[in-house]
Amino acid sequence: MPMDISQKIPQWKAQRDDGFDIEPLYINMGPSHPAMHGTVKMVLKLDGETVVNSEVEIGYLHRCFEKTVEQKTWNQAIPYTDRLNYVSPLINNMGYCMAVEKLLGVTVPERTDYIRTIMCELSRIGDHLTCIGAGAMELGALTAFLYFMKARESSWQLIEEVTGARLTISYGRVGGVVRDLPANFSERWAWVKSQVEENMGEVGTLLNSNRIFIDRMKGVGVMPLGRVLSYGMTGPFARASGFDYDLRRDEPYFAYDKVRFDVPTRSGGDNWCRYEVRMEEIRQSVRIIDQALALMPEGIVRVEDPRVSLPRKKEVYSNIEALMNHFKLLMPGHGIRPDLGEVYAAVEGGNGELGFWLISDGSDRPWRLRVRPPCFPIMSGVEELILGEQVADIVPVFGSVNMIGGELDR
Amino acid sequence: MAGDPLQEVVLTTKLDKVLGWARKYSLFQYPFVTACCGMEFMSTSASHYDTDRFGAAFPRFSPRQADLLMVVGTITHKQAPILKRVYDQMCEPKWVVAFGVCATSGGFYQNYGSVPGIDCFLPVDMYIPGCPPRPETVIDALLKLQERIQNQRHAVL
Amino acid sequence: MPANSSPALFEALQAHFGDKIEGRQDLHGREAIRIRPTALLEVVSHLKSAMGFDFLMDLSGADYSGYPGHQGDPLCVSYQLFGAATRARAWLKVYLPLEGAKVGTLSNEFACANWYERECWDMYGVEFTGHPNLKRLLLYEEFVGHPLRKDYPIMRMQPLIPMRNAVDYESVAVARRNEKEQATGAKAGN
Repeated sequence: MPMDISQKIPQWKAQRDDGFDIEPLYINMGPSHPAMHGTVKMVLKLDGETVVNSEVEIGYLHRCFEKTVEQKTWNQAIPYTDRLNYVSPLINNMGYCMAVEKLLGVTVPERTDYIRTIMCELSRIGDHLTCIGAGAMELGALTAFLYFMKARESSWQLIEEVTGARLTISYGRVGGVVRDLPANFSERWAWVKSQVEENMGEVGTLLNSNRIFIDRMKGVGVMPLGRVLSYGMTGPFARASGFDYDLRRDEPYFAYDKVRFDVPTRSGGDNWCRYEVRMEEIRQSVRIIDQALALMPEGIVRVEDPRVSLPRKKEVYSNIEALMNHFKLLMPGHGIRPDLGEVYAAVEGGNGELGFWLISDGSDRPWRLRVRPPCFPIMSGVEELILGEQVADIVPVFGSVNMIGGELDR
Repeated sequence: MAGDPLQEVVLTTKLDKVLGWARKYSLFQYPFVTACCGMEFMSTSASHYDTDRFGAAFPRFSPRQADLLMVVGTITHKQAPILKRVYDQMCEPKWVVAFGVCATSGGFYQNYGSVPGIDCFLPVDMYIPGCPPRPETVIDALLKLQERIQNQRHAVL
Repeated sequence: MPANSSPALFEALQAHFGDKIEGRQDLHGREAIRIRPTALLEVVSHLKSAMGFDFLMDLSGADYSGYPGHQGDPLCVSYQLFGAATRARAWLKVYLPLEGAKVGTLSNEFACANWYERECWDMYGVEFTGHPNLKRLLLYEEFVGHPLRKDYPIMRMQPLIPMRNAVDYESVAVARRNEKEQATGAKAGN
């Protein structure tokens, strides 16, 4: 139930009861606002500087993802999944591919699991760098933003060397990934790692003991654990309030059960805790990538299943079965055809549990592809989160929510 | 226009050139950021690819103070009236850049929610293709736009 | 794989509620339990209070009109529940008719159900009785129709301001699809 301000802060009315008859002020933090990451409208009812009530309106980026992929084939939906959480597109790709593979009953090769783990963690690093950098920029710490953009650039250059694109990569396919990692990946990763660690050190010295940053982040935007559970929030937002659940550790997929990493949690539930959780998660992601690179076996990267993967070119040109297989996988009306069935599979996205509910009707197109967006329940709690806060506090709170329009509105 | 001797008066052409030079090197952008292209926009403005060296980095978040409307990302039918209003509030001279294929033509979002290109309701000066466009493409477009601003007529007199 | 809506859960619910539990489907490692729409509120509050499922992970709709082998009401609302302490999952489904689809609201039990149900109303036209604020979430108020239903054509745009090119995208898309269907004989999307 949405909370009223007198439920959240019972002494609010008494605190400001100075005998004056005040009319509230309604202002609009509109769909085009510099500090709103993407487009969302908030109508605020203010009493002086304090937010007494608010209404959040989303949907300004509703690009009809779910209806569109019903018209496309299973592999053609992958570029659309890139644009869901567009700061960590690899996680969306791999999550979707995992869901379709569950529906088909296909097991990917072991090397693919490790590659997927590495690329997901690389994407997660980019997501957290962007979130913290943009949040710091909105508080005035422009230098921190520029340092983190430099670190993100280096990770994007590495992603470009692997997948061919910086942001919208479409690297996953049903049954594996498009191509193997380049031969010099380890050296390039060592360079990226040094950049990320150096920049995190610099930003740490700038922000961690910065009086202004601490004052603006500590105690601001507190979400108690009970409300986090009622709102169904997951991910770093929930872990900063004490809800210790991470799909990578608790329901492992890909190669997460073979690497050792910690899941940082805090119990304060304010902006400062979220900042700390995200910084620590970057360090843990670096750790995961190092271990995965060391443990990765050799092998193929796409499963050699005729229902799913294109056969090798040499075979296509030399024998008739491979040619027919190639033909059947590409022509409209044929293609990858899972049996009648449904599946719900989830991965740990940058913001929490990214779930995919797929329904297949036996044809080459999805019947229904539902994405459970991790920032949707978090955004539904923003109205309550900013109750009682001052207008200037809305900006850091919103920054720590890490709303991604592509995922929220789909 | 051709054959009108008044058009070739030295004063107005020189004034055009001076105003063109001044306006092209002091573009104040209004980044109307909606979607994934915003990430590449952030990268282009950051220190690696830097648009500040072209005089075009400093964003003004009020339409009254901006002269370059950069529409970054997909525009949906719900967002279109707001974009139109922001465009209407900007003062002349103003230029519009469609950043990314979603703003140019709708991209691969051809459905009931997305507007198939902002030129359905706004006049566009520069279309930047790419999904998202590489920062080098954006800088190329910015330089072409600056060339265009230099060479266009600036009506003052 | 943790206890994901295991057969034990189905048996426990059936013992408690009898024939309000209509059936179950085994879906690739998770079991979905089909319940009667009128019994939703009591089943969910029993799961929340007695069995520890205090977390609503997802609430979404699906339209099974024309799905091969589907009988009965086509609109489905699916609930993914999760136990924060037990780490178990439960998957419930209710089936509703296209006309007058109504089911009780969960916004008194879970705070996030407010927005999930608004989205379901927006996309599928399912009315949640008792919802405090059932209006559109992702689309605008002037929009007519419920787009994720199978009978809504994807290209039917409803612009709010006048658009310059007066192409009727919907008829162009339909014509192109008919041509393709005739040419290849393949089943097209809808």
